[in-house]
Amino acid sequence: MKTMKHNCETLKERLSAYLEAGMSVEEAKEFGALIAHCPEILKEVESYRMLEGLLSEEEGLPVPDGADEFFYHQLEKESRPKHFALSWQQIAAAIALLIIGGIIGAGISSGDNQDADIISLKDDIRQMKQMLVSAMLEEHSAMDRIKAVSFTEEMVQPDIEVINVLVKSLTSDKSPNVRIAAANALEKWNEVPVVRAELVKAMEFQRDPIVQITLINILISMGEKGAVKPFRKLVEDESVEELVRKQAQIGLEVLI
Amino acid sequence: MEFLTDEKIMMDVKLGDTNRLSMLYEKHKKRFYNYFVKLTNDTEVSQDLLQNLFVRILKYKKSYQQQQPFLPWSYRIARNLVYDWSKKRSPLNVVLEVEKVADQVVDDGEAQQKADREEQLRKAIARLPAEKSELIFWTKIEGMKYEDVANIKDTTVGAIKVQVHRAMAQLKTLYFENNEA
Repeated sequence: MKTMKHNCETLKERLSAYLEAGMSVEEAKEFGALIAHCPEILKEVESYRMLEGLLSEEEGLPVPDGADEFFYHQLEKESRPKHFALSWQQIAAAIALLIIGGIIGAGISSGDNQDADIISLKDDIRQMKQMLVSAMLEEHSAMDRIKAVSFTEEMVQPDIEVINVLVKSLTSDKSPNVRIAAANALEKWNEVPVVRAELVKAMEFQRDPIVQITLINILISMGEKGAVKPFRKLVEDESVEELVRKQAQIGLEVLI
Repeated sequence: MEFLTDEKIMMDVKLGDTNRLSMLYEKHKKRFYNYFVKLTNDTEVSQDLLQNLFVRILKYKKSYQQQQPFLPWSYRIARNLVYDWSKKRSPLNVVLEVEKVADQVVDDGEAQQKADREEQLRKAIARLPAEKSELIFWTKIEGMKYEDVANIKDTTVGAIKVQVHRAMAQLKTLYFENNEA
């Protein structure tokens, strides 16, 4: 009995290694068999594991609403360009003035000059729109770039230069939110072959799961068969997020 | 196709795509918030510390090294914030702060037993020294690898295992002492 108690005391010294994964599987198995005769150690192991169980079940407190404001404010400040740039409202106001001025000008023109004025006005508007979109996409914060992209949604006719700017934004904008907005804006002109081709091509380069899922959904709703190949690639790539692969699989089922 | 890891996102942030930090913030805010709650026992202070942590990550983004594991790196910044906070606080606040956190537990009948156990556990952890509560948070609640914890604390895995065992032993005493009382 005395020897057993002595043994138990010795075993206690190794308990830390046993409880904190400091033993190989074999050693732990052997140690487990030895402590079977030491009720005190068994009780300690049991309460230790019970406590570990309780701790691992802890769900933690949710982060209260409104706790994020300071961080997002700082992030917005940081991502804002440091150099001088016109705000998107200022540029939009300039365009509005130009359009109104043009209309008045066209209205007071007479005879032969009227057609030429209207053509010139249309050209000015187009150029200004393009300038607006370019300025928004290159100079401003992510939020302003999203607003600029949304501005293009008011356009009734597809404009190849605007499409080019949107494609550029979809493929290379730093912010995933802007890329998503650009993809959604391009969807409106899905009848234009180049838009369909660019949306398919964009699948190859996007790494952000939310952007990938947005593109998959757009291509599915367009019924774009050209997306089958990139979808397949996503499904087969194990390094891609599970959710994206599942969505691509749904896309394959719809398109094939 | 490259897998979008925390480290890859942090490198993008470092290289100027700062908006991407919002992805890391959304992914890890609950984890860090609860880390701060464990160490400060104060939800309001923890909200501030959480904000300060990510603002500091933004500020020191240039010091992030490629391939450096994001979580241990961030936890080192988080530890410094707690350390700065603890230097300013009054020790008399401790009991009140514990009560403040305990108030957060929802009393909704079925979950009451679980909530009681969690509260007891929270109180027991709150009575541990900060060094021990953070070890328990990382290894037993968050399930972090000993290697990562050793990385944060700049020590060996063996030393961490011994420290965790000591922290658990003390927590066990405090927890059962509370429950038997």
